[in-house]
Amino acid sequence: MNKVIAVILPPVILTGGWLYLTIKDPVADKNNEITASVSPAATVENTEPRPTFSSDTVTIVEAPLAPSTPPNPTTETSLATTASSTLTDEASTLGSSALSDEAFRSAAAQLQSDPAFLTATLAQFRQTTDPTRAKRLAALLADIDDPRIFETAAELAYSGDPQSQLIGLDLLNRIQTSSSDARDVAIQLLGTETNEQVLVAVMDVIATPARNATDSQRQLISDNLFLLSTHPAPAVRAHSLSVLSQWRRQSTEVTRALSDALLDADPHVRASATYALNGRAPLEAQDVERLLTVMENQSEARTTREAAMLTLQNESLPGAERRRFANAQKALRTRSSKP
Amino acid sequence: MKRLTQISLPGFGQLPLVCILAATLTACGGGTTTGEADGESGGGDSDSQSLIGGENEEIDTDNDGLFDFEEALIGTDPLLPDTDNDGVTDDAEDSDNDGVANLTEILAGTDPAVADNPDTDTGGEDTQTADRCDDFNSDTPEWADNCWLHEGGTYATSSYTRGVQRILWCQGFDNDQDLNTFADGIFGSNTDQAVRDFQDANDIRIDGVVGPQTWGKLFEKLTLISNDGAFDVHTIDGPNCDSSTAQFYQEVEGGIELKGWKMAEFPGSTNLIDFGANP
Repeated sequence: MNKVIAVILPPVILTGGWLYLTIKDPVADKNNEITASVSPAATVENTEPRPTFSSDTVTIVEAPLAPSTPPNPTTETSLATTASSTLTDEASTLGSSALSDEAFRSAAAQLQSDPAFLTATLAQFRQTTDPTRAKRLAALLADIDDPRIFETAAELAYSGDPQSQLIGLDLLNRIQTSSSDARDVAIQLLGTETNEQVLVAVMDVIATPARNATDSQRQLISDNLFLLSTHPAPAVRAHSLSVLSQWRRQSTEVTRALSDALLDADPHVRASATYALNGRAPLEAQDVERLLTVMENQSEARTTREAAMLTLQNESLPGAERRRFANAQKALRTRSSKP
Repeated sequence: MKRLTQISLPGFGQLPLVCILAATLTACGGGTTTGEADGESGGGDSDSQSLIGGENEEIDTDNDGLFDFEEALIGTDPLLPDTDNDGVTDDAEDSDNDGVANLTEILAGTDPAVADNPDTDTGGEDTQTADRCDDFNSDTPEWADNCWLHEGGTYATSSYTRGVQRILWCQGFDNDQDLNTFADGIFGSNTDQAVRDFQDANDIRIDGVVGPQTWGKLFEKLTLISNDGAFDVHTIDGPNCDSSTAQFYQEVEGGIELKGWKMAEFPGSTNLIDFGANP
């Protein structure tokens, strides 16, 4: 069943994307204009109010075109055929148990040098229903330079079956910094995925900013993550803020969003925002006040309070705020305050 | 609010670098370590207690986003916003041609005059941030500003890694290995996977990097079990470890936590080793 979905769903998504582009609404057009107006070296930020998340706005941010190497319906068949003739015992057991670091390097080297072994292992990766084994295989496959790695991961990510998607996204996560196509898959799914767990995994794919990301990719990632920062699910909000802060370290717009998230009702979101504010500048008086409040709040998680402290200790605070900071710092570091 | 005035550049060492670069600084002898400790225990309100130097260093004469002393470091003219008149202001210039703008590097704590190591395995901005090291177990007692750890990183082999591995192992992220095999102090593929699993289980960004939030979550797994006078003694929560076994030690004085974490050489051992970056 999953294989059928894997074959059918990508064209459906792409068709949906085409239909969307054909009938997109004025808001989307406006957003596209914003995107188009941002030059590669632009430092002036968009001052338009950002849309907030709702079921109506889930596709406001235009999805990228299909990856340059789209999932190929014939690949699975050809892979399976080849694999069936070359499948070795080694491939069928690879990842079933833990590998030492040395054994890992050895297996990766063998995969890189032996196409048949790689084919068999990819087949195993597709077929396994054991998430632990899938992760071990993904770690190995991510070390291999071969276009089939991305193709396999993308097919699984587009499969529509959450468990298969998570396995595919895990592999995309591991190759994204060196794979523009992997980034494009994540960008597309950011705007279309509705399963919260899968959506979080999609954001993890782009957890690490890539130096070679295009300006268009950066803009789409940023716009999508901004949208998701108002998602009703706390886990989605927390993740989007955390990842967004990695991609746009200097953006005052992001700093404002992180500061606003310090007031979020969910402690996990507040924690993410607090950590993400570390090292960002400039902070405004309002940001400092909110961070001091987090730091002083004894019902807040200790590590969140400490994160606020670490951010504020690099700030030049006025006298009154400096005193509040010192008192809160002393309280945090007093042994009796330990939970 | 002003920007961070404390700059730590890899390969130089924080205090000497600042002393060399900032002729206007007046607090080189103090440094951040002692100043911060004094500030927290004394509760005073002087800005200089936790910041290097005074107000003079925070002058941006040409208003290009870079303080004058930072321009002296980079080699740009503090009197000209676009020193080479190429249409790109000095803050947006990339003096070391590593793909990262000067101001970005300063804010990230990396050296804008030296290209970042292209061999690290994370790419992009995290090529720098994944190697960021704000603390060597010396500045603050909190874990969230410890060195960033990841496979292939500068501090991949360190007692930091060993401590992280022990916490992960106690938590059950052991990859079916015994403690001695898993906690070898080397951030390899098994540790990378364990970190990812830990991040997944704790609902934080999965990138395989032990950054501030992951450090914070790791710290949450410690429980204070006793105090022997000079140290708070902590155990590690988790299904693989005995909750009464001493694992980590933190210096205390007068009830105040101090810098300087140590860890038992092995669980329960009274032989303590530094818990810090020592690549």
